[in-house]
This record gives sequence, structure tokens and C-alpha cells, in this order.
Amino acid sequence: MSKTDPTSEVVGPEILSQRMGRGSPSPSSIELSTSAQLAPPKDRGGSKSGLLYFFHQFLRREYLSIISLIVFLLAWEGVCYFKIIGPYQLVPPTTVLKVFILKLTQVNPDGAYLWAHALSSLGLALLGFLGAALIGVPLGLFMGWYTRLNLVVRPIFDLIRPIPPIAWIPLAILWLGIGVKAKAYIIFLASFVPCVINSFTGIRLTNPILARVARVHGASDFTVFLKIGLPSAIPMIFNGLRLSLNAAWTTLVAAELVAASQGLGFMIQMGRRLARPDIVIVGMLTIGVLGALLSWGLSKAESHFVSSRRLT
Amino acid sequence: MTTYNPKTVTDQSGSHDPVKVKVRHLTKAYDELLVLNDISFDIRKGELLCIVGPTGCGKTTFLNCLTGFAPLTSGEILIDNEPGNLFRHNIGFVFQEPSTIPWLKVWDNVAFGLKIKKLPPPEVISRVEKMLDTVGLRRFVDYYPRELSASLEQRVALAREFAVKPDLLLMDEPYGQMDIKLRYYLEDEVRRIQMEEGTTVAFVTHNIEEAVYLADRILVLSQKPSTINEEVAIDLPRPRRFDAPEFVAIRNHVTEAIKWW
Repeated sequence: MSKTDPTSEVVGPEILSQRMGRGSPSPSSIELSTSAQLAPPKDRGGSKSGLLYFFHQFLRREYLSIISLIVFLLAWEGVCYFKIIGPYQLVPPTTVLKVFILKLTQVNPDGAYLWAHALSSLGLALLGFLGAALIGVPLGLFMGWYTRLNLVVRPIFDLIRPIPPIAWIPLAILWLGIGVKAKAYIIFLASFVPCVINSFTGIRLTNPILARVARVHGASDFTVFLKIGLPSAIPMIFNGLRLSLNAAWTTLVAAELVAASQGLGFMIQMGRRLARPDIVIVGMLTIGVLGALLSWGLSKAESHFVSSRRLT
Repeated sequence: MTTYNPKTVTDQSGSHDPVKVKVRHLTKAYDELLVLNDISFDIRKGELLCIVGPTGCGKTTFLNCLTGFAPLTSGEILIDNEPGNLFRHNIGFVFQEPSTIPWLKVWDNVAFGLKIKKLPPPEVISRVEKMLDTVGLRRFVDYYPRELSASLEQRVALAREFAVKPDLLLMDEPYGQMDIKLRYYLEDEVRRIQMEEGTTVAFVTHNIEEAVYLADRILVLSQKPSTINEEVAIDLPRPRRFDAPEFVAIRNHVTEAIKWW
């Protein structure tokens, strides 16, 4: 015992006496440090004047996207106005807008109102997508959780996965005819794969410590799956759903090649046959806008489930 | 200077306390790597047993064997004279790693074990509320774990495990993240909860001072492949003082026993 006692140096007598008595430090006195201070925003371009100031304001970030869109539309309009591309190949945006409004109340030349085409396509895509989500997500989750199921399903899945959905069209017609069923099946196949893969990956990323937290309190394997595995996978599930929705929407036109009498894909086809680029472009833009709206709706649903506060 | 003559515990049946955990010839190997080598000891009911040893000596592995997370290579572990069963035995486990559930707010994190055990909701609420005060998380009930500091996060995990009132509480270096003030406070809390509920506690730590302060008995493991170097019974009166000569003597003794270099 020739060494000096390290504790008497590290721990002061007042802490020691605190430790002895009932006057232990209260945990509530230990505060969360929230002293993150942001620098005050700089007053940029405040001293500039005249044209330069105006230009600076113009190039502020919130305007950049709008400016680029306007420039794009002007260029498009110019290309048509100066007949660089002829009217049977491309129509200007102003005509597209006119045709768009006209198509809301007029069935000519392709046989249906624009909104009827849109509803038909939307119904078809959602049918395929929801079917894929309802089957694909649970399948991916179970494959990720139960190794044996994975071993059984995996080889078949890996065989089917690389086949492009469009390659299924002939078989789909042979099996299901040329109705809604065949088209929904194509879209189903396209959206099925991302659902399965992402759900699978998501649940495989479950933190094993969290699974143990549940198990130690007597949770059954299925309870651990529900309470730990499933919530862990939710961000990846939504990732898969987003890709699936994307796949469903992009396969739409291909699916509507299978003898359709309605739908945005059909409308585009009719536009091509009738040499009406205006109809084609209105159809394309409608597909684009609706697709963007669907993605937006899905991310709204996601933020309902996944609080951004826990994902830092 | 006081010197310490340890009463090496050899007669395991000599105690009057019934045995909670019986470890016999426990051997655990990961492939070729032998981690635990033929270890036998008891943990008595209501006892606070500290397990110390060099880093990587298999302290955590032992706890994982006890809960069944890691299968034994040979030997057996009996809890209440039967093989450990997480469905039947009420076990609490404070992990060394962050183990809060990121998608649950603090309140639901603390309630997690109770809900798994399907306790009636009023009981869940009263236990959670009590635990929030015990560990000082009252202000943070609506926070998510990611928004908390490491020490606050660990307190959430502690509260969750205390709340189930386990009869066997396993703690794997639970206070590693914490500052000295909080560590002292929570060491006393573990002791208090243990006395109140009659909990059996296995407390793994690399902090010898902490072990001497808390333990009824210290188990000193050797380096891998681990065997028990020594069992040190500590019957110092409580509350214990770091600067008491007996305390210092035991601490030095344990330090000597743990040395592998």
C-alpha cells in the first residue's frame, strides 16, 4: 500500500459526502444542453443598387426554378413559332394548354374525355400497385424474418425478377385475355419486385439489440416481428412503395398497348395514329403531373407514419 | 494501512440464501475461439453480484448465455432450478449498447417491457410515471431517443428495465456513458430498487471502484479463455465510503486479482 489513493484525488470530499447521505444529486438537475445558437442571417446584397441589385434578387434561390421553367417554355414556343420543328412533329405549349382545356369537355378525336382517360389509367395503375403492395410487402417482410421461407421463395423470385414486365405482355394476353385483368397483371408484376426487395432489406436492417430488448421480456418471435422488426422496416417499406408506384406508372403506357379503349396510354397511341402531336403531348404531360401527385401523396402518407424527429 | 484478507468463497452450499442462478461447467466457444472455460458459480437470491475482468474476457458473453441469446457450448445454467426461459422468468437486461427504441417517445420506451408483458394499462401508467421520476426523465417524456444525450438515453433503458420489476436484473456496464454525478446517483438507485424489490442483480463492470461500492460479492474473471480468478465477498457496511481504509484495501485487492499483465 505504498501507492497514493487515486480516488482521493479524483473525488473531492464534498462529492463523497454527497454520496454518503440522502442528499444525492437530483437527476432533474441534470439538464439537456440546448445551446445550439444559429448565426443571424446575413443581409446579402443590401448595399447593392439599381440593375445589379435587381439581378441579384432575380437569382435568389427561390426564383431559379421558376426562371428555368419559363426559359424552357419560351424556347419550346420559339422552336415551334420559327418552324424549326414542324407542326406535325411538335406543337407549342400554348396549343398544348388549349388542347388540354378542350379535351376536358370534348371526346374527339380519340373517343373519350381527358378525365375519363386519366381515371381509367389511375384505376388501373392503383389496382396493380395496391395488389403488389398488399402481397409484396408482407412477402418481403416474412422472407426477411423467416430464413426458411427466404430459402424456399428466393430462387423462384430471383428467376422472375430480371424479366422486364413488358415481356410478360404476350403471356398475360394468353392467360387473361385483353381486358383490365391482363393490364393490371403487368402493372402488378412491375411494382411487385421493388416492394419485396425493399421490405426484405428493411427488416434485415433491424437492430439485433432491439430484438433482444423485446425477447428478454418474453416476447414471442412473432411479437418481436410486429413490435421491433416491422417498425424498423417502415422507412425501407416506403422506399419500396415509392419505387413501386413509379414502376406502376411507367409501365402504364406499355400495359395500355394491350387493346385498350380508354386510358392515357391509349390516348397517346391514338394521337400518334392520327398524327396529332398535341394529343400525344397532353397525354404525356397528364401522366407526368398525375405521377408527381401520386408520389407527393405517398410521401405525405409516409410522413404520417415516420416522424422526421427520429430520423436524424 | 489496512490489509485485506479475502474470504475466498469455496463452499457454495454454505450460504443460507437460496440460489437464484446456478452456473455449472459453463463453457462457451465461438468456433475455435474459447471464451468461457468451465465456469461454475452461484448467484444467490437478492444478491448483487458484480462481475469484473479484463476487456473482452467474456463478461457480456456470460450474460448472453444466461438469457439464451447465445447457445452454450457445454455445461448448464439454471435459473430457479430450471433452464432459463424468457417466457417464464422475469428478467431485466440493461445493455451496454444504446437500446432505446428510436420510433417510440421516452414514455412509450419506458412502458415497452410492461406492454410486452401485457400488464393492465393502469398498472403500466403508474409504474412508468414512478420510474420517470426515479431516473429524472419527467421533462423528456415527449422526446424521441435521438433527441437525447447518451446518458439520458441510457436512463431511458434503465427505467424500462427497472419498471418491469425483474427478479433477475442483468446489467452490462450500464453506467459507462455517464458522468460521475449521475453514476453515483444511479448506483444508489440500483441498490435501493434491489433492496425494495428483492431483485437479484448481476452487474458487469470494468470499474473496480464501482464494483466494490455496489457488490455483495465480486467475481473476478481472468483473460480469455476465462475462468474465475477469484470470488471476493464484501461485507462492508453500507453506505460505503471510498476513502474508508477497508474499502481501499478491497479495491486494491481486486485490482491485483484482475491484473493480467
